[in-house]
Amino acid sequence: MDFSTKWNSLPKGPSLKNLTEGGFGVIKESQHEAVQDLTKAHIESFDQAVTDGLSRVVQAIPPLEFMVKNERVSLSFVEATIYNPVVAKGSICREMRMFPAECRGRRCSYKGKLVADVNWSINGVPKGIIKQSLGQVPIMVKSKLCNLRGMSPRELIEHHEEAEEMGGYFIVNGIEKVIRMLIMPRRNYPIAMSRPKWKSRGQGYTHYGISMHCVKEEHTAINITLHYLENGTVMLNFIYQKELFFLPLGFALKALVDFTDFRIYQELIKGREDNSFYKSCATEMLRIVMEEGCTSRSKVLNYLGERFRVKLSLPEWYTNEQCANFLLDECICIHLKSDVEKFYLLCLMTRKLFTFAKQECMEENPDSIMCQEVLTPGQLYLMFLKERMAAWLVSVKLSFDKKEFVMVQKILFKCLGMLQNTGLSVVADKLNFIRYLSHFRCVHRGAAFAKMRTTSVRKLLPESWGFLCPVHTPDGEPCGLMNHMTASCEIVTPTLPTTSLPALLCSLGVTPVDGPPGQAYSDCYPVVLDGAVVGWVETELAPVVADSLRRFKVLREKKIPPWTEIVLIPKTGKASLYPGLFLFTTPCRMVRPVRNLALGKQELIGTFEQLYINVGILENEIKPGVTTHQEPFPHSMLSVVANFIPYSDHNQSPRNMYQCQMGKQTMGFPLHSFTDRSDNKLYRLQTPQSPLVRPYMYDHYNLDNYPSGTNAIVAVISYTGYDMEDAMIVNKSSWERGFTHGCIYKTELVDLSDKVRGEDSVVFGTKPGDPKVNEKLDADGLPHIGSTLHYGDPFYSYVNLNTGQTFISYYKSQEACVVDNIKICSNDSGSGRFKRVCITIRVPRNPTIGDKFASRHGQKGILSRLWPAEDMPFTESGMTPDILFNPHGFPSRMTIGMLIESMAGKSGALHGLSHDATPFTFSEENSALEYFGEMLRAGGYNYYGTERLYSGLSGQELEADIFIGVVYYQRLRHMVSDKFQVRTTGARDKVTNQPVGGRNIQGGIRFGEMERDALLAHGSSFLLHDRLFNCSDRSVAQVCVDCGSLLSPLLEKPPPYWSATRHRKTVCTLCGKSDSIDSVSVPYVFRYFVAELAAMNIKVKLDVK
Amino acid sequence: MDTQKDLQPPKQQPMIYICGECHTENEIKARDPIRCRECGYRIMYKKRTKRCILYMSVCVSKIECETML
Repeated sequence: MDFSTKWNSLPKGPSLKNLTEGGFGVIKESQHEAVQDLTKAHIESFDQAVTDGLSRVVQAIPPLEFMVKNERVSLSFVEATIYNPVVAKGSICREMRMFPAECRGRRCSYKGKLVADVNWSINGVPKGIIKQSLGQVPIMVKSKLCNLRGMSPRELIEHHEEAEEMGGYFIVNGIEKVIRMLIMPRRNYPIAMSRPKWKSRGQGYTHYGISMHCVKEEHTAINITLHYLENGTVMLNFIYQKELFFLPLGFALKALVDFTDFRIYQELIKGREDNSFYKSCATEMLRIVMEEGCTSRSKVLNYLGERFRVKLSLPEWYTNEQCANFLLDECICIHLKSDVEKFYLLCLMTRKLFTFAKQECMEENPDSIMCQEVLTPGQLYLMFLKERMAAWLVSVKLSFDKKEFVMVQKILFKCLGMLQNTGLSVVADKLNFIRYLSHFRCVHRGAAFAKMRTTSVRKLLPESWGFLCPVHTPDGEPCGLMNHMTASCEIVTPTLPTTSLPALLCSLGVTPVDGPPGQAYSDCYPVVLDGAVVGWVETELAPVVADSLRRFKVLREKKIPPWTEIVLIPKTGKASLYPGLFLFTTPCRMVRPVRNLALGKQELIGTFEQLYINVGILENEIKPGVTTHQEPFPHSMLSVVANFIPYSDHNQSPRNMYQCQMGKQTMGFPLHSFTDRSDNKLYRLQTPQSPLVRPYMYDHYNLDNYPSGTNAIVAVISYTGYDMEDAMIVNKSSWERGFTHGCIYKTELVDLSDKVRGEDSVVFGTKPGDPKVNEKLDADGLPHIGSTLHYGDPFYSYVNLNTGQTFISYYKSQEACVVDNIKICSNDSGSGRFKRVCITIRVPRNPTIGDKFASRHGQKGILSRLWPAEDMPFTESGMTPDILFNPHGFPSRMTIGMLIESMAGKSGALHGLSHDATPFTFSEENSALEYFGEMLRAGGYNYYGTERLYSGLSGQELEADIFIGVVYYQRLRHMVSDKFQVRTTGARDKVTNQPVGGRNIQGGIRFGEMERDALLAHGSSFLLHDRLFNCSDRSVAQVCVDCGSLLSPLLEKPPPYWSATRHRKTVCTLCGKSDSIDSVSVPYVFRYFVAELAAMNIKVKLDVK
Repeated sequence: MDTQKDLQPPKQQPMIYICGECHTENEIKARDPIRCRECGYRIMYKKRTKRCILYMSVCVSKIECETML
């Protein structure tokens, strides 16, 4: 983790070196560090999980003990290993390793074998170790277990990967899936909360509580809560196997240690010795325990064990004390190993609770990032593995005689103790590179919060400065819940033992927990290290201790990890946060680098720590004696995607938010290995360009490898009337030269074993000379590569080898396409027959009227007209713009950044420069207009970027000066060809006879109630009747005028062939006559409705006149 | 249509596929397992057709041109 130099080597500014210097596209020796860092949190956490974490999980799964035929059987895991992805045994191939490209191409999963050593013993006598395969588990790409690990770009390309492959995702059935990072409560820190809901938990409960998310080293988590009761006692609350339990605190304290009541009392009242109410509460709590006859620790344990053993499902031979100890181990403060530590922590929490209940300290906001950490993919993976492995042991118990083993096959996350069990992974679609990378930087609040009515969770809090990007969040439903980490934010993954820390703290002047400090406890801060109380430190000494710890941390001395969080919450004399010196070294916290001014080095600061650190941004903001740290760069609060917006500091904030979303919907150049992939849909821009104006972060992330737009000459002019309401006009000649041309690659997987079940001899093929095939398919039943498919052409055909029967499937899209490539896929062992193919077709998608475009400033527009170049306005030099942009788009949106970009682009094109568009480089004093205006003037152009234009229609000079320049335009993926819907006649619903809905089945668009209201209001009844009746389900029905029934008129039997009468009468079966029958036109659904009502014994009588 | 039938004899040629890993050309028949003979790789690519994939009219005119020459 070498963070100290990472942000020092940023490029000074963007450069066109990829265009001018050559060597672009030549394979580099090593991968680009900055891009690899984007997925670091994912990969490192996974690495941690499968190495350290897995062995910890194995140890943490309690042995399963049960009785079989009067013998005690014990099962436990000794070791577990996950192997690299390899080809199944017994398959014939040169390379036994499996690579991700094959999984993507063949639509299978990238998985490795999980093998566990199971130890079993009978009556305590070990019977040896069984090596048992537990099935296949998904492997993260580029993790330690991945076969691509450590490969150079050249080797990666040889294995059909991108040269800059980042990894960090899983491949499940050929789809790349990313495990989303979720916000979790900060582990092992007691959070003071008030929840009105808690009042309903029982008699005397108040809304005050201290909650703690206890997480063990192997990431097993349990929440415990201390509730404050009206009578001054405390209830301990925890969840075991989805059941809620409440325990008076006194029992828990006495069960944990063998101290005398007086000593427990003394521990409880530390720091609040002069509060008589509190003292009486403490005695009261201990008295309750005494009343139950629990005088000693063993008696309390016995008492607890007796009551809890029903719920613990432990073997019968366990004593009550063993049961109680099991309970303490599994449920109470599980992050601590010794009972004494748990005791001290519970005492600290009780003191905090009383302070909080008496309003002497502030509650902590659980929605604030200071009380939060991140659930990393590795952590989730481990939780899943632990649960499934424990479940496997139980399954062995259930089927002990048969020895049936349950396979762990797919990631199906059903984790205990989590708020959600769906939506944990998302598809990392490669629409363009920006979207792809933002999947790895995304942090979600959790699906449970999306349904909440209150907006407090979505608020942007000042604490999240530098950790979560304020700009990069979607608007609408997930707003504020789905956030993105800033470019410099990282997540701590390694764990280091902290055993040397307490001794170091003592040497700095901290009094150990069991020793008396030099001053009264009320003048001391408690010192808490990773949720364990390690001692007390005097108020005056505390800042000194914190400072020296910080120095050790920055200089990496005394084995203090650089990602340690040192939080000294000072006493303020007001009801502020509960004071204390809190140290955190645990993983999963968010940290970010800032410059420590005193030491002149980079330091990682955490979310909680940041509250008490004064960080300056620019040099002139540093106040001596106050500011201790400085931001690495002024735009350190922005995410990677937000960093790509040029001059974002000149735009109105919501426009930057829109650009963050639109950047992710842009058609671009998503990858270099099109032929190796079988993604459902891939967009590709044929002629992407490198932007002339860009922030240097664009170069930092080497985005020239995956460009997603075109430099366009944009004139801001209202010219034709085709540019109203955000519409834009494109020069037809530019279009003909290939302006934003693109295409879509669609891949269809045809698996015949899914289509024809149970028949093995069905393979692709055609009958020779089949007229239906019409030479459009090859002998193998697949279309020719490079051939054009139209609607109704044969797409593929397959044949049953035994019967010789052939089946043809036809191309069912109205859009013509070209067959790009066809992959014939085998199965995992290489023995599959000719029955699984991926057909990739290419749909050309050149811009048409109705396609969506956007600049990089949240200014989107629809192409409304391809205007002939000869009719476009032209400049004095005869140049015609590519795009006409309506000037009305500017005043209300205030995207000044776009104006600056236009000028900068123009001057850059004039002088052959690439301008730096990093935010916060220009200011009021040093204005961008002046800079670029001068540059334009030097190039012989107008200072303000305007030019005299001539009308293309009349040739007359336009009266106004027209602002014209170069703007980078993106083509968005929303295209009319995917959206238009039109119907004249077509399919109808079977039951109602009404036109069907749905674009893909040529359905209509519903003419609904509101549309009906509109026509009613206009009084256009004929149109209404036409729409809802004649064009819908008009039908002619026979009705009996006498009895008014629609159902009773029946058509007579056909007359015999020899009969002279050809006319068939309709007779009412109720009235028995035919002269009362009349025909009326009614909606078809009405007849259906009448029939349904008749089924319910309701008669419908029509009053026909 | 008739002229076209005359041009292409109904005799079936064996289908050839290219291995995705070692680019060897493999001849695969309907009953064969999908696996490269050389390296055992499990993805095969169909070869690009040598046939004229433009519209028949163009094809015919081309052939006519050739015959004229």
